[in-house]
Amino acid sequence: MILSVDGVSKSFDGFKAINDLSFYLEEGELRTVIGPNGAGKSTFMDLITARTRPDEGQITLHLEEGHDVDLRRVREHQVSQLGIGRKFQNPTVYASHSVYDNLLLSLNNNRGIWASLRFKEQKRDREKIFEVMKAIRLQDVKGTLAGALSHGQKQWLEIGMLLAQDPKIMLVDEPAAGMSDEETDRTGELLLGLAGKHSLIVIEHDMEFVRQIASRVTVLHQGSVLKEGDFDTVRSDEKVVEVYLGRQARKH
Amino acid sequence: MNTMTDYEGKAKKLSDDEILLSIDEFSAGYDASLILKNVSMAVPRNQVVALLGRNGVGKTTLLNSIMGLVSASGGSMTFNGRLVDSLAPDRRARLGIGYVPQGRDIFPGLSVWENLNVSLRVSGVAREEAEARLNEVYELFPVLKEMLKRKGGVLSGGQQQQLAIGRALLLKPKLLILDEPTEGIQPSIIDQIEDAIYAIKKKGNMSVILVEQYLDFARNASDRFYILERGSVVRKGEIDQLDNDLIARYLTV
Repeated sequence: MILSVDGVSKSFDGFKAINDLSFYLEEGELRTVIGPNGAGKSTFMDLITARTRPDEGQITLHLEEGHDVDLRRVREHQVSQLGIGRKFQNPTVYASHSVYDNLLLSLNNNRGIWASLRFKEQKRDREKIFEVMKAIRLQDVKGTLAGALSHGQKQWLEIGMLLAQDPKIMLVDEPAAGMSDEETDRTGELLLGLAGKHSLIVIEHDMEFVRQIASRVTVLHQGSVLKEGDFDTVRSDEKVVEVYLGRQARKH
Repeated sequence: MNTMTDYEGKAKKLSDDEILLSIDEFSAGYDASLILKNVSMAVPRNQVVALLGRNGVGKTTLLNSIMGLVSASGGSMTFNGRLVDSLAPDRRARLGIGYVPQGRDIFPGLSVWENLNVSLRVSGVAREEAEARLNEVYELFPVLKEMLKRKGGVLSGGQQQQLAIGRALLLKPKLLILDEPTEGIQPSIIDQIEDAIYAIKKKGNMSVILVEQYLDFARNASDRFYILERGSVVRKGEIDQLDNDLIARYLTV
């Protein structure tokens, strides 16, 4: 196991966004998180990346050889150094730099400020960049300015920028939003290819896409886990159907 | 002529006169992304059309597009016989499109009365007409009359929703657009909003586009439906054709 979230709650102005949530991620797993609006998906990501702190419960990153990190006690900027990378919904790439340079700027070499200033591109850096470009299938446009890429290519580049940092856990928020069908399929292949080498949590609404990538699905509702299982188990669950059709609201 | 075809392919012709809003092969997006892809949709006069689909399929973007808040990358829209593509949102509002966005957007620092009065001022109607319109709104949502001096921001979510709908109705729109009116609202108020839609329908001088996750509510209130998936219309028809197959395929997991 690489990440465990135990009994976590978080309120904002008296509203319980996350309510006694427990969630466990195996190493190398690709987990898809779904849920209707307001289910707490974004807050859940914020908690894992130390953007917000839980009121209760524990969030632990399990590193090698029994080395555990209490994620409640790290600062937001330390999270990426610990190997947790997050890709937000809208692509944020350096528009006036090439694909190659975007990746170069993202490399994780643990450099201090002086080393960064004197930084010279090494052979292993180039190899790493080509490896990432191959994974995100942007080798053919390596010299293109990021701002000139299609929406889908920008999303892949941003995933590549996360990859350049060798993350252990990747949090990916709605990668398929705004993509063409073909781009969506390719994104699915890309994420499936990353599983195993990385552990992934993907938040997504597009059910065709979820079906394509999902092995294990977690359904969030009102800040808790409503159901967990493979795609077919989840989609045939009566509670899940009710929640998606808004019927839960009526019963409270 | 615009054609409304149900998903089984039985065509039912509607004349141009019968259609209030016609959206033709409309495409739009933000930056380089494409959210709406060749969407065509017809809203007949005096009917309630449910716009359905899961999160993120483009429903709110389509509503924003109707209001002129998103610029088109292709296609066109005709409202009440007039092309509106080049019109700014305020011009569209004056032509008779009323929009109650998700999250309601009432003025929290203004009282209920002041919120309503904004609409009356904008509409510029004479006093008698204003009184008549207000009374219609109070009839639909009695709670507003009881709380005229209360600040909008301290109302419950349901009361805010009623205020937002009431405020839109004061402008006598020909088309009322409601984006998830039941979201986060207690059941008793959901019933009142449902009743208000019935009352609007009965009067027979307004069309409604209803985006709603709460399926039973949408089904009860609507005449027709459109389902969006990945920014395209994948199904449309009379509301009684919305069967369990379609629901499982496009609305649940």
